[in-house]
Amino acid sequence: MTPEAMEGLRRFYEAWMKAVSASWENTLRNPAFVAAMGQGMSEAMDLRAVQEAAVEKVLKGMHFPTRTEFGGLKRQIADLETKVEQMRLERSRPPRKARQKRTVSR
Amino acid sequence: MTPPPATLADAAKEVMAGWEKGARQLLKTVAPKVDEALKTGRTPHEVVFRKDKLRLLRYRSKAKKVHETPVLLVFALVNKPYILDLLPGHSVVEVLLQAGLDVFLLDWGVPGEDERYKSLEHYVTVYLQSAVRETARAAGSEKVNLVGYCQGGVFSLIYTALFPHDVETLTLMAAPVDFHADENPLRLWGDAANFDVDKVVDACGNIPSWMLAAAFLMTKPVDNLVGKYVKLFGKLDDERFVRLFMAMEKWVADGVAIPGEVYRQFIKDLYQKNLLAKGKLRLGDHPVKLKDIRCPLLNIIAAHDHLVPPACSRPATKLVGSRTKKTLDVTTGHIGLAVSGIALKKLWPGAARWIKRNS
Repeated sequence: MTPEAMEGLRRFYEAWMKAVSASWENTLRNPAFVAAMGQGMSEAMDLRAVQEAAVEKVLKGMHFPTRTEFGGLKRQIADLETKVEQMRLERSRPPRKARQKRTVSR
Repeated sequence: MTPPPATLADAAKEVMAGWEKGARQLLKTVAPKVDEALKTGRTPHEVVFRKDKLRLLRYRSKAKKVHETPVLLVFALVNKPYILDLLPGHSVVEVLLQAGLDVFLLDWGVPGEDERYKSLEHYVTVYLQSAVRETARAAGSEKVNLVGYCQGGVFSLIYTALFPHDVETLTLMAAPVDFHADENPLRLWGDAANFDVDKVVDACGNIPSWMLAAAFLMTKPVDNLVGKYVKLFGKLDDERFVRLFMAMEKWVADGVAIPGEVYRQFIKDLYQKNLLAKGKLRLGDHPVKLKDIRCPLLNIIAAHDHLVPPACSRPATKLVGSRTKKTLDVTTGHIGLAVSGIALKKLWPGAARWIKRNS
């Protein structure tokens, strides 16, 4: 391939990239596209929630604890852990002192 | 001499077997070299503190004297923090060490079910506070110089507002503050009208990394799926470029899930309600006021950032209460702040000087 042909190809590619990128950019910001993407995501999550509810119904029938029940407990434990850790850090906070040196030997 | 294949199918089988043998040989000889060339996070370090999944890394400095106030690097939860020490010659950590700073890096770890219900409040007031405390203790200092990148910058801002006495200087790298300042795709897709974050977190728990990676890829699909590979093809004889490219690809594919509750609050309070910029964010009982930040601030903006547009990160300089503050515009993209030539040769040596001068 001649250098002229290569240069032509390169220019064609650059123009194509610019046009396709601009077109995609418009699509990605298009309100209809954004709404459809949101709706698709929402419906996928609804499907997952329905599956989860079905599993929980079966578990409940067998007197097994469900994910929701475990989740509630874990949330409470996580909140308590945050409070306890905050108190521990507050109690162990070192006293502030005046500083002088700017470099230290290692 | 082996007899020629009897049928076309036999010939095809022979060709395939030859290809397979060649490919296996190639992998056997080349793969270890590729693995070695792409070994990331190589700067010598030790883990000085662990808490749950969190690790605090301290890098070994060759300098005889290091600056007293240590630097703590805080990256986002979305990807692994070794982007700040990607490869020798492409490492922010390396530049800061050479400048005589005592460098620590916070690695949040990979969250599991244990982290699913941990809140943004826990991540900032417990995990980040513990890391700041341990950094200061290990360096024998009272305060730290916080450097926060992207979401890590938001965490660092919130931390500095809540615990101003712990932070000597604050450096932000592409940290979003005013989430409504630019109508970029991520902002539009994350808007409350289009995105029900409660449904997503309730269904998924921790948000899988592929979901986040897909969203980031979609922000510039043509560049991410075509442009960068064409660029690679044109530079195949540039070993340095190929090595950096492959290391970046490795990092991009090495994503981390985001803890569900952190994601919920981050999307709701920051992306959707913009509470941080409005001064109305609360972490549990703690109000977060950026005006409470009084320490020197260096706000680094990536001019070509498509994930955190400059309009979103620039307002931090105006919103904090610091007297000494500086905005630095760098002609690079979001990740370029950590790995590009301009960042490593100009930005970080200058940032290190600024940190030393102000701490």
